[in-house]
Order: sequence, then structure tokens, then C-alpha cells
Amino acid sequence: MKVVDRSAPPIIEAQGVTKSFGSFQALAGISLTVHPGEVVVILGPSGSGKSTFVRTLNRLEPHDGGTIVIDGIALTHDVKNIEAVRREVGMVFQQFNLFPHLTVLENIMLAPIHVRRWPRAKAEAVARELLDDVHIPEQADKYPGQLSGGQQQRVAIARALAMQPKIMLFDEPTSALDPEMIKEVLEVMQELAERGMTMIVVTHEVGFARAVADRVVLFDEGRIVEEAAPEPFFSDPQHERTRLFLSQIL
Amino acid sequence: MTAHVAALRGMRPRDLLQAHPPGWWAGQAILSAVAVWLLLRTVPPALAWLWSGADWRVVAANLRNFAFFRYPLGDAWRIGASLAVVSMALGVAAGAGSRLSRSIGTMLAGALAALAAVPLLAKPLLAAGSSLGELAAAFAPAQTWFAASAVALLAARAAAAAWIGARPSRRGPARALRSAWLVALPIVAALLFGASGGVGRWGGLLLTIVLATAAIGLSFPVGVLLALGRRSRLPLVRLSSVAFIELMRGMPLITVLFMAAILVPLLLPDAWRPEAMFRAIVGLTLFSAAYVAEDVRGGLNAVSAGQYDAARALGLGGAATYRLVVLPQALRIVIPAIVGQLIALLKDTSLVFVIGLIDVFEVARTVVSQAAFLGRFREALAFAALVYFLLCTGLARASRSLESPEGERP
Repeated sequence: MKVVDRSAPPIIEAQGVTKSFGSFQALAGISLTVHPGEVVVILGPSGSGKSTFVRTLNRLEPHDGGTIVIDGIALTHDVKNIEAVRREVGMVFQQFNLFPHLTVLENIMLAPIHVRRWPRAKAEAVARELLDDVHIPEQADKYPGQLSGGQQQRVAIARALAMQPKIMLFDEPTSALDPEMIKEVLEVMQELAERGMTMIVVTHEVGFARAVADRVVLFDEGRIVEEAAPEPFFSDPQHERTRLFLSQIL
Repeated sequence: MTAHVAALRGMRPRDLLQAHPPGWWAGQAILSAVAVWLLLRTVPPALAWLWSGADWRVVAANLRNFAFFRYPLGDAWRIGASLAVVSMALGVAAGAGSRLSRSIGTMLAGALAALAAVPLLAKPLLAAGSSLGELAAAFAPAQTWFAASAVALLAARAAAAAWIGARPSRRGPARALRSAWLVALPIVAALLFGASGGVGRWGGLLLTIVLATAAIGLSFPVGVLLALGRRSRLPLVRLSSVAFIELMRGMPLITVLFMAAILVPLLLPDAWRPEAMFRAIVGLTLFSAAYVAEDVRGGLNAVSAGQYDAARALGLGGAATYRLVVLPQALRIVIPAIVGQLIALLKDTSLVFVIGLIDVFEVARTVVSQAAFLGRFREALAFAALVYFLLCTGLARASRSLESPEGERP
């Protein structure tokens, strides 16, 4: 069992983050602090703002109000800061979003070569190592369209890890997968967590949350309703909204 | 339909008759009869005309005009040498594994071999009493160039493939060789422009191919830039791209050519008086680029938002996102449409006669005013049509290799 050092400075500090799409308020003041090595699982009904919040953390969505500081870098309009943060933060999407015109290996090598400016040989060595880590070294030269969903998502995880990020964001990583493939992706994520990666995971996988999360957060209507360690969160929720949500998904 | 026919094929005649109601069979019979009647009415007379009715001497005597018009005869070797250089470059690129070069190269090698063999038909055709023999004999001066180019192409292909095969790391050298024809283009330009008399004397098939190649080569990048400009966040860039595209698409090519002929000299300093050929290239490029831009726009719209998300999340900047992720996918989607566009452009070059250029089509219209061949429109125009047909069909077939990218499944 790993231990999260809460005396270390936080790696993610979000204070009163707000975001609106037209008249719809997606985030109504989210404050969340995450320490290095922590795994935070975000639960919530659809439209509760959990995906939007995760996407503000690497500024795929610019936030309207509040502050977000990632590893000491404030996310503002400053393009330099945005690029610096994106180098520290990896992201895995519900729809994988692999590049269909590139092979598995090329998908993983693209950013290290063009963003980190690594020599090709180094990028390829790292990419092959990562494919080992996600248990599909034999798929290196295939195209994404030739892989199963579970394999594609594991490639996507390897692609994000290739930039050697300090933080990994997972936006519903198993929601587009057939049930028999969910397990292989969750296993990879669990191994990643055990090695001390800081992770924020938007998911509906309660089993994963119980086993891996250090903290579980429930979003509803753009606010954090409840925030607790998994054990009290699932067995003794403090809020009526949490009880209702858990009764719907369990 | 094919499956339907295949299902019919295995049936016994009696079952076959019962597979459709009598009315269907009657319809089939009527349609077939009409088709046969039409073919009988048109094909035999056309063949008879080709064989004996037509007097191909109008084309035979003017074959040089069809090929390059007033390009100095003493410099004609430059065209032959250019053909050989292009053939060799295509061969190298094909041998290095470029699929487009391979299919164009195969096509070209076949065409060159056929052209080199044409003069061999002269004697038998003449003996049989057809003036096609004279036409075949007129190809004799170029026979050596055709044969040499075909040999150069095949030899270069074999040599490049062998050279690549012997390298331990195959990726780098193959990449370098695939772009062999990019090296060949400056050589060809130097060869062609070295002739005396300037480009004002270029004409015929030479002019058609130069116009088409230059306009196709330039309108592709310009079109891509216009498509990107159309999605720019800067209003000035976006609006001027939209305005340009809509303006070009709203005018007939003939107007654009006139405008290029008149406006280009106005916009440039007096010291540069670009030749009509360059003005035509500008006009054709701008016109075609607008259509390419619209095709590319469709391809850009087909790339999902998730691809942009993934690229940005990996830290790629805007330019890198387009160059590495979005454009490769967008262009692959629109290749069939763009190839169609470029083939249309090849045919559209025949309109340059309106600004005084003498391309294949205009040569055909010009030679029939020679005293010896007055009124031989049919032969001259039929030959020009054949030239365009062969060029366009060849281009269309060769470009099919682009439509299924290597190894990729949808």
C-alpha cells in the first residue's frame, strides 16, 4: 500500500473554477487539491461537469473564473504556461482518439519526437518499453483500426505516458469499451497507480474506485457534493445526493 | 447486380427463364436490340473511317507541331532528354517503394514501349493501304527517345530496388529516393528553358503538359493554404480566403484566364513582362486552387474534434497539429475528389487558346488551315481527342493507388 505524502506541496490546486457554455453553467466553483501520487476518482451523473473539469486541467477547455495551478504553473491565457502544463499532464479519452494514419509505434513516438525533440532511436526505445508496460508489445506496427477497443485504449495510455507526465487525466477511459475489455484497461491503470502516478479518473467503475482511489469525489450540477476516502464514501455517504447517486449505479 | 448475375449463372435454362416474369425478359430483349443496333450503326463506320476514309497525312505531316509546335527543332533533343530524365526519376522513386510513382511508372513504361513500337506498324499498314501507316511512320524520329526512356525507367527501378534491398536500414534511403522526381524537376526545367527563342515558342503537347503539371503542382499547396485560411481565427485571413474562393468559383475559367492575362502584367513592375504561358499558369492555378480548397475543407471537417484534443493534450502546437495529425487524415479522405479536380484541370488547359497559346487542341485547329490539308478537321480533332483521352485515363488509373493508403484499414 503506497502512502501519499500530504505534507508535500500539492501538484494540482484548483480554486473556485467556473465554466459556462452559453447560458449553461458547467462548473459552478470547483475547488480540489491533489497531492503527488494521489489517485482521485471523480463520479457523477452525466452533465455534472466532471469531464469539463478534467479538461480544464490541461486547458482543453479554458476556465472562466477561479485559478488552476499545476505543479506550480498557473494556467492562464499565457501560451507558454499552457504548453508547459501540457508537457506535464497526460490525458486519456473516452474515444481513445488515436491517430488513425499512424502505426501504434508512430502514435506513441509522435509527441516525444516533435514536442520533446528526442532523437528517433530514443523515442522508439521508450515507445517499445511502454508497449511492454501495457502488455501489447506485439502490436507495434499495426494501425489503430486493426486493434480491439481495449488494445487501442492501452495504446492511448502508452502514448500519453511517452511524454513522461507527472499527472495522468482519464476521461471515462472504459465507457466506450465492451465489458470484456474493461478489465484489461483497468489493470493497466491500477499498475500505473501502484507505481505512484498522480491520477485523476472520471469513471463509473466503482470497483476500480474502491480498489485504487485514495479519494472519491462526487460531482453534481457543476459542484463537488461529497469528497471522501473510498471506504467512507461508499459505505457511509454523508449527503442525500450521494446516497441517491450510489443507489442508481450500484 | 453482380451477385445477382452470379446467382443466375449456375442455373439451368428452364429455371433461368422462370427466375423473371416474361415482361422482364421482353424488356431485356428490347434494350439489347437497341444497343446492338446502335453499335452496328456507329462502330463499323467509325472503324472504316479510321482505316481508309480518313487521310492521316494531316496529322503525320504535323506530328512535330502536335508534339511541341514552334519549339526550335535544333533543341528538340532537350524534350527527349527531359522525357528520359523524368522516366529515370520515376523509375528510381518506384524502385524505392513510392506507390504513386510505381503506378505512374508502370503506365509510362508501357506507353513509352508502345510508342517506340508504333513506327514498326508503318510498313504493314501502308501495305494494307491505310494512311494510318503514314501516321505510324511519323513517330520514327522520336523512336529512340521513347525506347531509351522506357529502358531508363525500368533500369532505374531495378537499380533503386536492388540498392535499397542491400541497405541494412531500409527506411532512410527509401525515403530519400522516393522524392527522386523532385530532383529531376529542376534538371528538366533547365533542359527545357535552355532552348533558344524563349517560352513564347512552346506549344502543342509540350505546352499542355507543362501547363497542367505546373498548375496541378501549384494549385495543390495553394488550395490547402486557402482551406486552412478559411478556418483561420484571424478575420482578415478568413474573409480574404472566403472571398477569393467564392470569386474564383463564381467565374468561368475563360474569364479567369483573360483576367490573368490582363491583370498579372498590371500588378507586376514593367520590367517583368511575364510570358503568356506564365500568365496562363497563374490563371489555371488560382482557378483550380479554389476548388481544391473546397475539397480540402470537406476533408478537414471530417477529422473529428477528438483528434485535435489528443494532439493538443500531447503538447503539439497549432501548426504541428495540422501538419502531423489533421492534414494527413484530411488529405487522404479527399484524394479521390482532388484527383478528379486535377484531371478536370488537365482538360481545362485546352482553353488557353483564348490568350493566344497554341496547345494540343489549338494545334489541331491550326493545322487544318494549311493549304494541303484544308478542312481535315476530323482527323486533326480526333487525334487531339485521343491525346487528351490517353493523358486523362492514364492519370486517373495511376492515381487509384493513392486511394487505399499503405496497410491502413478504416
